[in-house]
Amino acid sequence: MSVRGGRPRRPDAWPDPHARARFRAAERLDGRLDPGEETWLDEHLRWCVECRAAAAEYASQRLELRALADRQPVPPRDLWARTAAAIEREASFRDRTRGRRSRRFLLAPYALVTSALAVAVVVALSSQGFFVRPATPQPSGPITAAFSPAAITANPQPTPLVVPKQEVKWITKDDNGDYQVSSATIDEVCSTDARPCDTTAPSENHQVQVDGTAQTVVGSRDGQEIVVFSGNGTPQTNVSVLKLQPGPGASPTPSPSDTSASPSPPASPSSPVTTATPRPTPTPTAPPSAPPTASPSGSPTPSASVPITSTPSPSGDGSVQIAHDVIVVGQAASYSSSGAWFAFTARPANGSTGPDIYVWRVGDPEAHPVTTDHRSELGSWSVDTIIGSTAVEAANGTVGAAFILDPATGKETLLPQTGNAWRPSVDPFGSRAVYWTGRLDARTDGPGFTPGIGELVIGSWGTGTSAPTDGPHPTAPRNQKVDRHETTIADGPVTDWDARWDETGTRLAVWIADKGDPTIGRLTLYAVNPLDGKVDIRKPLIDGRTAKAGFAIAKGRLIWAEPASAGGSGDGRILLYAWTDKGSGEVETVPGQLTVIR
Amino acid sequence: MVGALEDQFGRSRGFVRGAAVSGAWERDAAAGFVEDLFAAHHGEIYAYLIRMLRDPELAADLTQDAFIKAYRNYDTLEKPENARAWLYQIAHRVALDHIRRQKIVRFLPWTGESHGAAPSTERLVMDAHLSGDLQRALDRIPERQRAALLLAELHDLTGLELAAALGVSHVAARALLTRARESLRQALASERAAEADAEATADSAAMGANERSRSGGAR
Repeated sequence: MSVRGGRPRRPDAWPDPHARARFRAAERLDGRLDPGEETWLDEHLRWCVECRAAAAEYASQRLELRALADRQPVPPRDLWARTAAAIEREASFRDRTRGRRSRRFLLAPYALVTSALAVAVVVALSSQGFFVRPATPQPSGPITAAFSPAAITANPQPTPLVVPKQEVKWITKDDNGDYQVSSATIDEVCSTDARPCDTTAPSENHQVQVDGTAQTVVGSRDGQEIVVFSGNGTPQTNVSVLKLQPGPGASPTPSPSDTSASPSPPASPSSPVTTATPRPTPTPTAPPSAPPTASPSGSPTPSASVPITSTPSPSGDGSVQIAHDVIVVGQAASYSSSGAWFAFTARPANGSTGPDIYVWRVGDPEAHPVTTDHRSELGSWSVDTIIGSTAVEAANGTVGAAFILDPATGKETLLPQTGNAWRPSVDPFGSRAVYWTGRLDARTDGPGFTPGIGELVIGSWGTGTSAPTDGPHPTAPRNQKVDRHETTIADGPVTDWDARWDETGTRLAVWIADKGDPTIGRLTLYAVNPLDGKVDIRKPLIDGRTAKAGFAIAKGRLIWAEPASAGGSGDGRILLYAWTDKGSGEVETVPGQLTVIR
Repeated sequence: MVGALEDQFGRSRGFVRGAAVSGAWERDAAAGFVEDLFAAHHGEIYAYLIRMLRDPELAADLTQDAFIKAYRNYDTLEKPENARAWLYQIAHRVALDHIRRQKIVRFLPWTGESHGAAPSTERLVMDAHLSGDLQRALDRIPERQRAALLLAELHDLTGLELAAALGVSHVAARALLTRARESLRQALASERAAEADAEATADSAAMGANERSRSGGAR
């Protein structure tokens, strides 16, 4: 900083020369002094040791202050939503005498920038975008009618529910085995109370190359890249980061065509990932005439394989393989709130050790493990701090113990006051969490642990009854169920689960794997009372919908993949449930065979 | 950043300087203006408020208040290039208002369970990691001096911007900053002396305990 022009104080106005010297020494940090004062100060500092020390302290404390700037606090992700809503209320109040005006523009653009990216992997799905879901099957050509503008005009349906505009992205795989990142902008859904209705949201596709079969895809916060977990029919997985090219324009092309018929170059197995040319995909006027021919994912296990000893392999377009030859454990792979970090749990594919938490700093050539006990698993993020858990031996067997971990330094601090907690997914306020409490059993498919007897619960995540310590052995609260106000979501054993909160902390989605097939489970959406943070699990907003592993929840949207068997059409589809203060509704893609959504 | 704002607000948005937020069109313009301002500066405003108040939830609330005030007072910004300093001025006043209210209002304890009422475990641990003697010393100096130091050193406000943000003259801002440096030096020295005393006391207590243990063992 530079501040100049300070008015020189009269030399004889100072109580003593030392006060004058210290004032001037401090002042000199912010700009040049009057030449006479400069000379006087230098002369004074030459013989006055104490004032020279004070001058050095000013300079030193300035450096210390500036070092604090490195710890940039991250604002809550819902801050704009709250602020915009408050401004909206104020504007509405002022508008009452003038009539109502639409102010949707206020909410839409920033939501596009900050919203979490919802990514789906769709195998053999010639997806054209989302359309509002009819409540009942239409007698003839229902999909055609849904996509046809003429049908909308000729057969007026209930008005769709307007929701804040948001871009949704997913991945499709065509008959040639080529992957495309598709995106659609959704700004209306069919109201839950007034279905069916018709609307379309054409998608825009960008071809990408993926080595093997994409199992799980996670989008970055800024929408500029995706992390792809891919394998070749075995749990062994590689993890690659693909840069996405910006679309050529904001408006997708709604002209009819069928993407499944669009030839595209085959993916090169030798190149892990590349970004290719954007390819707009228009909306069709007819349903796909032929069923998808590509086979579903060969290894749709919930644990994607990821690299342990990573070999950076940057490609020409900036994409890079950040890990390889590992098996991904659990469903918690995610970016930190700021988007600066990505974390996942993995263990070596050769079975040599158990799971550890891996982190990748965006821009680095590879991911690396930040735990070394081979019994730790990622729970969630608290801004840029990892919340994880490790398996510890207790009187009643092996149990989970939570910790926080700084990904930059690897410093780990146990949280004994949280008691027995495994894979905690903590809400944005740090007030509540979903975690497993109970016994952990040894996995049967390799080193590591899996929930045994116990419960998946929602519990308080506050200070509890004891302060945090660095002690090696966490001590559970005296009566954890009562002390932490735990509410049971599911009784164990639970094969796998995924629990995520929206950025406002007012919605919680929980996916629980089926016992027979861990790649498919039941997805439930709960409302969280904003006043007391409590969840009434008896009144879910969405109750036990069949869903593939992996979903996305953000900005008033829940997006998941419905497996083929549950769609009724022989194919699966991607569904989007949206809510506003005026209601809720759904929208879905053209049917196809789906593997993963995240 | 200021140039970009000028482009956005001065030209592409048809920003009318000095227009009162009274008609519907003006309110839409003000809303769009605040939206862009938020996108450009909400992170640093939040950081400033959290550093002033050391309370993440409160800082978020006051950041929201600051942008609402920016919307209400959209007509008081004379030059778009001064938008950043103007926003800091609003945030600074919001922070000082809160601090003043805290001094005169006696809060009653809230006993009900509330979302975010209890600090999270992560926050407690992170606070413990981050609370050093410098932060404690900053907390001890007068609020306006603290604001001047934070704005100048951590938020890189220029001399004129600092003066605008603090709502004082250029000369007064410089004097305030200089006094702040001396206040912080003294507060830091005091903190470090207290810390050294505490360590010395702990050491002597430990030595005493060892002595007693040894003499007890000898008996």
